[in-house]
Amino acid sequence: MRTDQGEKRDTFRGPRRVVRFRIEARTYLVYDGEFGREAQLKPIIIDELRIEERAERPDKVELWFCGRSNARQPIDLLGPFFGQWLDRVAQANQTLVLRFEELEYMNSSTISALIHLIQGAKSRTVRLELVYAPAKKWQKLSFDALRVFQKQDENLLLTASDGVTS
Amino acid sequence: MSAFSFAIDVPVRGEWKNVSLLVTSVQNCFAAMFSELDGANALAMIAGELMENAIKYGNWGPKPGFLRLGVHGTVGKARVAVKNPVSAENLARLEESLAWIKSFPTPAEAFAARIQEVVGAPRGESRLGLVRILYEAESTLTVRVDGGDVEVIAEVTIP
Repeated sequence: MRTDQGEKRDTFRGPRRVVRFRIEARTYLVYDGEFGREAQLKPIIIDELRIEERAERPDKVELWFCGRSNARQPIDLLGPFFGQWLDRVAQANQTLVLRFEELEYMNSSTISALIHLIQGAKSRTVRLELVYAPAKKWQKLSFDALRVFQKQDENLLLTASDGVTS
Repeated sequence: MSAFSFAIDVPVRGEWKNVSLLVTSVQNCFAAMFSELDGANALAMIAGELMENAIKYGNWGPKPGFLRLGVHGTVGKARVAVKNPVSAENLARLEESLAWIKSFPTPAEAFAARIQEVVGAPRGESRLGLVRILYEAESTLTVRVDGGDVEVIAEVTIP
């Protein structure tokens, strides 16, 4: 498999479906199968939304949502992206933690995409934690409404963050 | 016009990228007016959801036309309106959505029900926008039909 730099990458496997993500100023290819090393370490940018991995410990991976999520069909972009992450944390028996405290805005289509993500985690029996900023009224209302899924899934946790960022 | 009256009234090309531009503009305008950000965020969210619906479900020709965004208000209250051409089919769908929401005792219960429905809905279809406006912004929603155009109006109290 060749990257945009033209060099061989054995870490990319199983090219059944190709998804292109713009990572900083460059485009990387992420395939069904294992993540390439770069895709794990660099932030993902989808329009005005930036998702970056800030912490990985043996027991969990943290992905931070920053900026604004306003794509017309965010599920088309976020679905394959999180599918990869869910498969990865499932294999490593880790919790996937999504942190929204720095997110400034999301449209209702993003809420829909998050609901499908929650269902994807449930079907894989992956532990998923969503952390939000209750001091932002819109976040409190949106994420409180998602607590209905927490009652149906013991692996899902919604956490109101104490250390709110503006 | 009183000292605290405000008005934004603009024609907007019906292109998706313009939603974000206008949402940010509304958010910034009202962040400059309000002492806290929740009111600004609520008005921006309303404008965004209504414009997204207009672009998704408007009766557009082969080339994008213009929708019209209006944000007006005075001390303690604001009105956000989006007007766009609409087909009879999508107008019926809009009225059906509002009737469905009104069948619940509260917008919060309607939002919770809609969220559960998203699980079984086709990926990419949420139909959360209108009920989100009612639930998160605690607004009212009315629909006006003018020939082949529809105007959806949200009225909200500003803290």
